[in-house]
Amino acid sequence: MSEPQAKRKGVGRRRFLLTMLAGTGALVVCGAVRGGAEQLSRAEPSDIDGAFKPNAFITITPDNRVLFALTKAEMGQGVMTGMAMLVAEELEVAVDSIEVFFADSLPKYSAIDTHGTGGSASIVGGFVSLRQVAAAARTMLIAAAAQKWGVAASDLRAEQGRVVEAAGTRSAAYGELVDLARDQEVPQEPVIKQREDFAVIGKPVPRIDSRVKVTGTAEFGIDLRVANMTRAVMIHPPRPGETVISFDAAEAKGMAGVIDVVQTPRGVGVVAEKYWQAQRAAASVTVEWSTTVGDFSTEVLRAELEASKRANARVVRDDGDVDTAMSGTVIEAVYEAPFLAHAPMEPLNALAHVVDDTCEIWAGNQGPGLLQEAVARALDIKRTNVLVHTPYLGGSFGRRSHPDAVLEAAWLSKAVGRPVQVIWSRENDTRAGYYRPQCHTRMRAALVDGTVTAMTADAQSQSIMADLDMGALMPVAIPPRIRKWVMGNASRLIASNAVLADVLATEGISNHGYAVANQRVTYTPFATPFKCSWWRSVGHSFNGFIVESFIDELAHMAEEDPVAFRRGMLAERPRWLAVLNAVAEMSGWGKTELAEGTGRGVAVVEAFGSFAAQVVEARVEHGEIKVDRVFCALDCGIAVNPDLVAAQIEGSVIFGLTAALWGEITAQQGRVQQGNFDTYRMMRMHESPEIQIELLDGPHEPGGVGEPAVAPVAGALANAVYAAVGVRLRRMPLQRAYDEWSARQGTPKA
Amino acid sequence: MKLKVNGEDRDVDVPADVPLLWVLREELGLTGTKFGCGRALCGACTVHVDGAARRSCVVAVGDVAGQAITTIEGLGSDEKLHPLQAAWVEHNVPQCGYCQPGQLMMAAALVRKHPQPSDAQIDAVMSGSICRCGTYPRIRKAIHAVAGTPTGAPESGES
Ligand code: FES
Ligand code: FES
Repeated sequence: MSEPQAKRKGVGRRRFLLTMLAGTGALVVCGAVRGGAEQLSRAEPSDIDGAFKPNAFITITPDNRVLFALTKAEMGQGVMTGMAMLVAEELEVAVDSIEVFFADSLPKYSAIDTHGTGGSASIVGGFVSLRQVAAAARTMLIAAAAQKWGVAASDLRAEQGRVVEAAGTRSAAYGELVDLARDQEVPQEPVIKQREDFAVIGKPVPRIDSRVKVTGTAEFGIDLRVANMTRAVMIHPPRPGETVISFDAAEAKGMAGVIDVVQTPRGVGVVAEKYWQAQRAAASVTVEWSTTVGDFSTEVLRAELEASKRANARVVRDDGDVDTAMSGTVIEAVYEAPFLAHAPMEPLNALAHVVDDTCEIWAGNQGPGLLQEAVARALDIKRTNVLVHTPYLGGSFGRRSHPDAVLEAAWLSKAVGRPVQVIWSRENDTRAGYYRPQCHTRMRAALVDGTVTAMTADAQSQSIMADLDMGALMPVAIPPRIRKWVMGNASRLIASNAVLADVLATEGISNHGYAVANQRVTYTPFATPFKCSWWRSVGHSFNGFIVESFIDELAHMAEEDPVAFRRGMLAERPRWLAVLNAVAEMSGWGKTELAEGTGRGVAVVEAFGSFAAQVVEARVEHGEIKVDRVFCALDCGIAVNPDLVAAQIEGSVIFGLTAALWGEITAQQGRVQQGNFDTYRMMRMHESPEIQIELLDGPHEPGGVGEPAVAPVAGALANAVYAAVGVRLRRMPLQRAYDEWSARQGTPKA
Repeated sequence: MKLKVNGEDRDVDVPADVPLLWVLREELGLTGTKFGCGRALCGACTVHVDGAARRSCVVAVGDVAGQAITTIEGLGSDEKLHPLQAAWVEHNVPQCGYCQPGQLMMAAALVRKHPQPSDAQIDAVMSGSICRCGTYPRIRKAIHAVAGTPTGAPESGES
C-alpha cells in the first residue's frame, strides 16, 4: 500500500493549493441536512461564528481556541497525537491546547491525501502536507499582525499561540487577529520548518487521547447513541457465501422489544429496542441456508497447494540466470501460513440511519470513502447522500476497511425505518472473513562456498487485491465510467494473474535486501470461499517469516553465524545493516551466554519505508514455546513521537507473537473452527515477553510505524526455537508445528 | 429492580437474568464498561461488585441488586483521577483504549488487595484481561508506579 514518498509529496502540494481555492463553506445545521443539498452534512465542532479558517482543517476562534479536523482513524496507533504534533509544530501552539475532532466524510477534507487510514502511511503522508496547512495559518496570522501594527512581517514571529514583535514589546494572541487574518492572502508555498528547528517533532509528547480512554468517556462506535435507535444481532451464514432460503421467526417476533426480523443479502438481522432483547430473540430464529459451498477445508487446501503444478504462476522478479546457477548444494524448504482474523478488541459494529435516498453512518472505519461508495451502491443512492461519522476505533488492524457490518446496518435501517446499530458477537467477528491469506511458498537456493548464488521463491496465496473492491478504493475524482470499468474488471484481471500481479502477495519476498545475483520469484493466486484482506503488515506478515527463516537455514547450512551471514549479504544496504548491527549489539548476540535450552533468533526486514531488526529469546518448556525477551531496533527515519513509536513496536511484537505462536483460522466443511477467545488465542500479560527497543535516528523523512515491527517477529521466533531445541518450524502457527513434530517423534508433551 | 451504581440508587425495569453489562450500557447509559467476548474470556466488561472484580457480561443483574456496583465511571473522575488512571496517562498506556476500562478495574482490585504487587501477582490477576493492542508492558509499569501509594480507599457507595 505504500507509495514512493516523492510522489506523495508532489500530490500533497498540488492538492494543498486546491484546498485554498475550494473555500471552507460548511453547512451549519441542526441535524443532518437532507435532499437538495449538495452533500449530506451535519454541524461540526469547528462551526464557530467569527472564527478564522485558513483551510478545512484548522479553525482559530476569537477566544483563542484552536480546532483541528482529523481525517485519520485513531485506532490505537496514536495518529491523533502525531498529527496534532505536526500542526502544533508549525502553528506554534501547545499540542494539548489543540482540540482535535474527527472529520466527517465531507469533500472539503479530501485535500490532504485520502480520507482513509492504512499502510502505516498517515504520518508519512501528512509530514509535509499537514505542516503546510498549519504553516499557512501561521503565515496569515503573522501577516495580520504586520498589517495591524504597520510593520514588516519579517519583523514578527509566532510563539505559544501569539504573534510577537521581535524587537519591540508588542504581541497579540491569535484570537485577537482572526478578523484581519481572514483577509490575508493564502500563501501558495507556505514555508515549513527545517529539521533543526523542530521544537515538538521528535519529543515524547504524551498521548492526547489517554484521559478519555482511562475514564471510559472515549466514544467508540459501539457506544454511540442517536434518538429512536434500535439494536440488531446478525445471524450470519454458517459457511461463507451461503444465502438464506427461508427462516422462521414467528417466536422471535413475539418476544419483548423485538421490532422485526429481516432477511438481508448476508443472513438474517434481528432488530429490537435493546441489544439483549435482540440477542434473546435471535436464539429462537431458525434459518434454512443454501448449500453452495461444498466442503471447503483448509487441510485439503494445504494438500492441494503442496501438490499444485502452479500452472498459473506469474514471474514477479527474474534476475540473472537462475536455471544455470541453481546447482551444487541446493536447499529447498516449504513454508506455510494460515488464514488469520484481525480480532479487534471492539467487535465490529455500525449504526446507520436511512431516510429516503440518504444514509447517515456512525462506525469505526479505515476509509469513509469506501463506506460511502459501498452503501451508495447497495442502496442505489448517490454517494454524496451518504454521510459517515468516524468515532474512536477499538482496534482494527485492517478489518475496519471493509464495509460489511455497515451494509448490514444500512439494509436493516432501510427495512425498519429507524436507526439501527448492528453489533457483532465475538463469534460473528471471528467468522466473518476478510482474513489474512493462507499461503504456501517453496524456497530454493544454491550455496557455493558459503555464498548464496541463486534463490527462487514460488509463492502461492489467496490474492488480497483480487478480493478488494477496487472501484471503491479509487479517489472520487476518477470519472464514474472508469470506476465502473475497474470495478468490473480489476478483480478478474488480478485473479487471472495474467495481466496484473498482486504486489501485496510477494512484498518482502520480491524485494528483500539480500544480495543474490540470480533470483526468481513467482506468484500463483488461488481462490477460496473466504474473502481475504490486509492484516497488520499485510504480505510482510508471512513473507517476513518465510524469507528470514530461509536465510537462517542457509546460514546454518553454510555453518555461519546467522547475524554474520546476513551482514555479508547486506553489505550494500546501510539502513538494513545499521538495524541489524544495533539489535545484535543490544541483545548481546555472540557475546552473552543464554541459559541452557534458551535460543536466540534474528530477523531483519524493510517494510512500509522503515527498517526493523529483531532478536527473540525463546525456549521450549513442557512442550510449550515460551518467549522471554524481544529486542527491536527500528529505523523509521524521523520518529515524530519516539514514545508512541516505542508503543507501536511493543504492540507489534505482541500482535506478531500471537499470530506466530497460536493464530490460525481453519475451516472444516466450510465452517470456521474458531469462534471466541478460547479457540482464537490471544497473548496475555503473563505470556508477554520483556521488550527492549532502540530507535535509530537517521536523516530520513518518516517511514511507517504501525506495521513494520510485526514483520520480523515470527521469523526471529522460529529461528530462536531452532537455536534452542534444533527443530526447524516451517509452518505457522509455530506451536501447532511444534506439537506435530513432537507427535511424530513420539514424545508427547510432558 | 433497584441497583446501586457508583454510589447512586438506580431503578431498572428488566428481567433478572439480563447480563449486568447490557443493563449498565443500555439502560443506564454507562458505556465505559465494554463488550469484548460475552463469555468471561477477555475482561473488557470488568466492574466491581462490593469491591470484587466481576465479569459483567456473565453476571445476571438480579444477582447483584442492592450490592454496590462500581464501573469505570465511578473509579475516578475527570477532575480527580484514580492513581492508576493517572499512572496510565503518565505511561502512555492506552493504544486503542477499548480494553482499558476493564484493565483498570482489574488493576484497581489488584492493588487494593496487594498494594505492592509482585510481577507474579500482576500476572496472576491481569492475565484475564486481553489487550489486542499489546499494552501489557506499560500496564505492568503503571501498576508498579502506583505501588505503595494509597489506592485502597473504599469506592463511592461501597458498603
Ligand atoms: S465481555 Fe465480559 S469478559 Fe469479555
Ligand atoms: S488498548 Fe487496544 S485492546 Fe488494549
